[in-house]
Amino acid sequence: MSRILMILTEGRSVAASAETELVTRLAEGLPKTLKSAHDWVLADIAVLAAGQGAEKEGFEAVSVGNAGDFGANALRSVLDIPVVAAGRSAFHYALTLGSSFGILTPRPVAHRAKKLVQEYGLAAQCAGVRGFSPDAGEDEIAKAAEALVAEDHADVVVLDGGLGGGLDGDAVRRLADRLPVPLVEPASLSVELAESFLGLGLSQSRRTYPMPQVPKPELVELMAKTGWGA
Amino acid sequence: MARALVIVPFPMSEENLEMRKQQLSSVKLGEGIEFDFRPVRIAPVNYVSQQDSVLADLGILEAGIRAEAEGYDAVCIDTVSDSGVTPLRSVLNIPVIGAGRHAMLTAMMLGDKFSILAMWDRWRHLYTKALAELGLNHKCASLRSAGLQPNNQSLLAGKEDEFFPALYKAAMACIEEDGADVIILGSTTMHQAHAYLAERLPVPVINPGPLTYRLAKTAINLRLSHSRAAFPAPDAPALQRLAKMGDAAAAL
Repeated sequence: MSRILMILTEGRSVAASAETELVTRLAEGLPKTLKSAHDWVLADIAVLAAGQGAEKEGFEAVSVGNAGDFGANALRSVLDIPVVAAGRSAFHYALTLGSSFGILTPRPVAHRAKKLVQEYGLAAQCAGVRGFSPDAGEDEIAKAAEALVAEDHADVVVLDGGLGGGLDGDAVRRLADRLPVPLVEPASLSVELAESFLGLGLSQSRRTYPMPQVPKPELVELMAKTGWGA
Repeated sequence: MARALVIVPFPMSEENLEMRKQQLSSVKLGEGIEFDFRPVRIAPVNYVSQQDSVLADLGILEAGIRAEAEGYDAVCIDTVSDSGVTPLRSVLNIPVIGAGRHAMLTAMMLGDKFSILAMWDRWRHLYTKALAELGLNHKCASLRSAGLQPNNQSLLAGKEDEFFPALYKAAMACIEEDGADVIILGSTTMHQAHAYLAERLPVPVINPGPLTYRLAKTAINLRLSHSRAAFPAPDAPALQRLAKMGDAAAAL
C-alpha cells in the first residue's frame, strides 16, 4: 500500500485504486482567484508549504492535483520522492492517446493553461484552449469540449477542471461518454501515474530540478501562513 | 482480473521468451492484472532498415488484431520502435501501448530533456521517426549508442561484464556532454542492464518494457484508450488474409 499526498487548491474528492492510501490536503493561504501571475506566485508558495514536509511525514509520492501545476516545480526541487504535476502529466499523457490535445478550462484561468503549454514546449501539439464560464452547467462545458474536437481538431481533451470550475466524478464520466475522443482528467491521472512511478522506481530528474543550496522550509511555511485576508 | 497481451516482436523459443517475461519482475504491478506474452509469426531478422519496419508492422498487426475478441483488456508491444502500434490502434478499441512513444512522453513528465541510449547506431532511424511523429525533436538531448552488437534472442546474457560498463559510459556522455535529464533505454532487449544503470546514473532511467505494463494498468483503471480521431478505423479489417500470412510465414 503506497501513501500518496495530493495537494489541492479547492475541496474535491479524487478516487484512488486499492493499492494506494490517498491523503488529500487543501493548500492554505491560497489567493481567492488563480487568474493572474500575481495569484500564481501566492499559489506557488502555498502549495510548496503544503508539500515540502511530505517525505518526512512518511509519504512515498506527492501529487499536485491542480492542473495549473502551482508549486510543483518547487516541490520537485526539495523532495526526492516523486512529485507528479497534474497538468504537465496530463498534457504529455494525452499525446500517448492522440497526436494533439485540447484544453477545457474555466475562462478566467485559461491564461494559465496557455502559459504551461508554452513552458512545456507543446504549442505545436496543443490544438486549442477553450474556456467556459465559472458557473457553467454541464451543457455549456460539453459544448466547449465538442468545439475543441469539431472545430480545433483535438484528438484528446484534457479537462482542466481543477483550475476552479470543477465537475464531480459523475459529471466527468457523463462528459467522457458524450465526447467522440478520450477525456483526460488530470487529478485522477496524477494518482495513477504516481503509483506507476513508485512501481517502476522512477522520480523527477535532479538535473531538471536541482536542490536549493540553502533550503528555506521555515521561511516558506511562514510566508504561506502570514497575512491571510490582509 | 484484467488481462493484457504483450506482443514480442520476434519468433522465439520458450527459453528465450522467458527472458522477455523477466521484465515483469522489475516493476511492482499490484493485483488485478495478468500478462500473456505472445511472439509474432512474421518478423524481420532485426530492425535496421525500412524493409524491416514494414515486416515488423505486419507481424505485430497479425499477432494482435484479434486481441479484443480474445478478451484482452490492453495490448503492450515489446519494442521501442513502436512497430505495429498505429495499425493495431486503428483496428482495436482497447488500449495499445507502445514502448517508444510512452517512454519519451513519460521522460518529459520527469525532466526537461531526454537522451535515448542504444546498443548500436543502426537503431537510430527508429528514434528519429518517433521523434518526428511526436514533434519533440527539441526535447531530445541526444541519441547515443554504445557500439555493441545486440542479440534479440539471448539479449545481454553472458555479456554483462563487457556491455554494462560500455552502456554506462555512453549514458554518462548523454548526461554530461549532451545535457540529458532522463535516460531512456533504446530497446526493451536492454532491460537486463536497467538495474545496473539505474543504481549508478544520476538521473532517472526509463525501462520501456515494464513502463508499458504499468501504463496498460493506468489506461484500464481510467477507462482510457487511444483517440479514434487520430487512429481512424479501416473499412474492412483483413482478418483472414493476415491469419494466412501468419501461417505462411510460420511454415518457412
